[in-house]
Amino acid sequence: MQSKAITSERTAPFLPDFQWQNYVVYIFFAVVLVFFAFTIGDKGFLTVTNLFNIARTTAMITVIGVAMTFVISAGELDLSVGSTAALAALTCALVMQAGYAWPLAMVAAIVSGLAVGALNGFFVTGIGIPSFLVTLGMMQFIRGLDMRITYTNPVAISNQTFNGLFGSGYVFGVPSLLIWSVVIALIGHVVLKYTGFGREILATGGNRLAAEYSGVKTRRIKFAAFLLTGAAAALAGMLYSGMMQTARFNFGERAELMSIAAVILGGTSLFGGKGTILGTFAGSLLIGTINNGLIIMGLDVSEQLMIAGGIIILAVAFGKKPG
Amino acid sequence: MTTPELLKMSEIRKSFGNIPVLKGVAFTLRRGEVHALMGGNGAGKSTLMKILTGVYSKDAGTILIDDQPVDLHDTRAAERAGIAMIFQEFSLVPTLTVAQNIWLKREPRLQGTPFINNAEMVRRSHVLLRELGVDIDPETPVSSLSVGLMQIVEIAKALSKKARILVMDEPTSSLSESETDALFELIRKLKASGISIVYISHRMSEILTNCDRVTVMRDGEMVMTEACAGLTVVRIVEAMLGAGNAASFDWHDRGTRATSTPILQVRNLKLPSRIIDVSFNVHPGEIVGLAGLMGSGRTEIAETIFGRRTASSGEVIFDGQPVTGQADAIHRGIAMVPEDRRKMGLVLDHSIRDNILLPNLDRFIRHFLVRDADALLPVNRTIRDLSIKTDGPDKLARLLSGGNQQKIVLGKWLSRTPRLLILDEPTIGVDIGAKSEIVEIVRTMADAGMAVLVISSELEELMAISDRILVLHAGKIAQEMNRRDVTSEEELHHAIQGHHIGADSPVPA
Repeated sequence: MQSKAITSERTAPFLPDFQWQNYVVYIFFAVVLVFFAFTIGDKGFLTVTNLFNIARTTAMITVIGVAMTFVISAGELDLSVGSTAALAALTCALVMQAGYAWPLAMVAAIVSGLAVGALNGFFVTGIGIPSFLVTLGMMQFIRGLDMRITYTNPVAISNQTFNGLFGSGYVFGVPSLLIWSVVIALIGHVVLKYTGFGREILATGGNRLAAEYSGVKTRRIKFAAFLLTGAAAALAGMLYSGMMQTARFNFGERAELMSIAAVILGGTSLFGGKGTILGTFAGSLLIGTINNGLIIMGLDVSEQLMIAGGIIILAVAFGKKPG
Repeated sequence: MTTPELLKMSEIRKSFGNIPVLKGVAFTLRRGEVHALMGGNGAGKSTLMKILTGVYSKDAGTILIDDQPVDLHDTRAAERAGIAMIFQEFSLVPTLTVAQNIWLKREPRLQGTPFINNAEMVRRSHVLLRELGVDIDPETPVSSLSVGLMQIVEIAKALSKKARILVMDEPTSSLSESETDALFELIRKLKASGISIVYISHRMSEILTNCDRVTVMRDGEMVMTEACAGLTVVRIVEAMLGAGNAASFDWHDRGTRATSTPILQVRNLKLPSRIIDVSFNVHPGEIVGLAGLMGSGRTEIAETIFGRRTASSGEVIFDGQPVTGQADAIHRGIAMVPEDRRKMGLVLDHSIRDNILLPNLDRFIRHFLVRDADALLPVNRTIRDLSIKTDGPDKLARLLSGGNQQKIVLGKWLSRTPRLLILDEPTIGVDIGAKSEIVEIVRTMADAGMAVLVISSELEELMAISDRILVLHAGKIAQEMNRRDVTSEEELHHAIQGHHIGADSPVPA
């Protein structure tokens, strides 16, 4: 075929094919770390305790972010994760308060998360309402439910096994919250990248119709993704309550926004079809590090919010591919 | 008015990076002429047209309009020079009305105010549309129009800017038969009023009957400019491919196989969405063409066989067992290449590798994990067997040409060696080179025993590939023809329109 000599309309550049936009979250993370190390390194930023502290405070965002990566990669969104986390925290605290063993409380919490996920999944894939609207409504509904359950009263958790396992404990000097984050991120990474389910998530988000013609059951895939965010939100709720040794209706406020920010910072496409769990993990740590550093610098909450928001927009702008 | 030439482009050169795409091209357009521009993907025809419409700037060469040199450095300059592009993927805003679209950003104002004079805008649209001989209410939203009418609004918009040269890129690719006829009627009208048209298409028969001259490009050069009168399809194809490469678009008698046990039996299939009642068989190794007008239910029948739709009654029996759904169909060896590769065939932002793997994941999963390393070899083999032009399996599908994209969609399924392959418009928007390659691939697979059902609106394609042709008319298989008994495209055309073939059937001029 003589006429096909010119194959690609876009000619490869002479530079090696390094797409630095894919790594912008890691670059920003490194820059932010170095910046804080020089400015506030002597004020305790670089201590092991503080670095562990960053990992602990971002655990919930990471855990939710991992599942959020699946939902966003499948071309959907879940805004109900924050209030679902609080629902799960209250559920397990109440079950334990009623005298049941912590494993049962844990199961109850996960079930509550799965139930919310199943409802979201049903409205999105069964009825066909856009996930943004379904989960926006669900976010409010569940938050209201959270307030109603205990009339906004906190529920203390006295079971020290539970508290240790889910938030306050250490294993060989490493906070259990960090271990949870790493384990969940690794599992998520392997599932998204190396399993048939992960590939089908990406194909569904990339082009739903093409995925269907290839035999992917895209409704089932999306439904499963909402179950994942439900379960992850429940786990995050337990991590919160274990860390605070109590459950409150307002747990997880802004968690949906923070986790979506972490996902997008990490390089996952907001429109689906392209997702990276390791990027999400880095995105979550980046957000946590910025917040932590700004606190140590002694900035007011108002200033913290403004700077953190600005950095998020900047990072996403840098990560945008030209054209 | 000394010369008949309205537009003269000469010695046009353009390179991207250090790759020359246009190597000194000359192109002329006469007043009131319909001039077809043809060539394979990468031949340079879209680059040439982008230079004409001011999207790209040329590296060298001259452009004269009315014998005056013009500088088409951007799209606005081209617009001022009276050149307009009628886009393949339409550039109308679907939620706005016809009038709002035509006058977008050029709305007439109420005198002395910044407010839009809606009545005047509607009135002018009326005049314009009436001149074009169409009856569209300027106040209907564009989204409620058919594709054919949308195209006419596009043309009206171009004319409202006083365009004298229209560039039409594959204008009939998504039109029905009657819409296509209406478009050519309109083109004749435009021609008569002195408007010149550059007509880009892959459809030979359309060009030969409706254009005045043909220019063929290959590898960035002009290889032929000739009057359509007296020109044959073979001459054009040879010019496009270089002599001797056009062979596989000729039909070969592969011998009839209708005596073996059919692999697919469709029995009194009725669909909920349409009045259809069809029965037919497909045998192993046989290529069966399904002909019919657009909207006659061909795609719906195919999708029902593939298990994506449920029949209201009747049966689809594959290899002795009814097909129970899409998963069952795929599992038992039915594959389908859908009609719109970009919408239904490919995840454009995924790599060639991931696209080919998608329907084959089950074969490469061990202990829940996809073994990419195991899949690499078969993926590379598919790329090689189908000669997909790429520098590697990780290239994004979006970056390939239409023909290569279509080969990926084929490759997704062929690596499973299906027993029945359904092709819905397999070569739409694919250049002639890739077209013959695809035909050749399908033939090879059929020779190896695969049954093939081809749906196509292009009769020349059906004529080239089918062993047997089923003609769908008024919801029934109106005729079944052995390809070797069909002597001309006109015969098939008549059958599709609902006329019965007799020995004395008239051949249209």
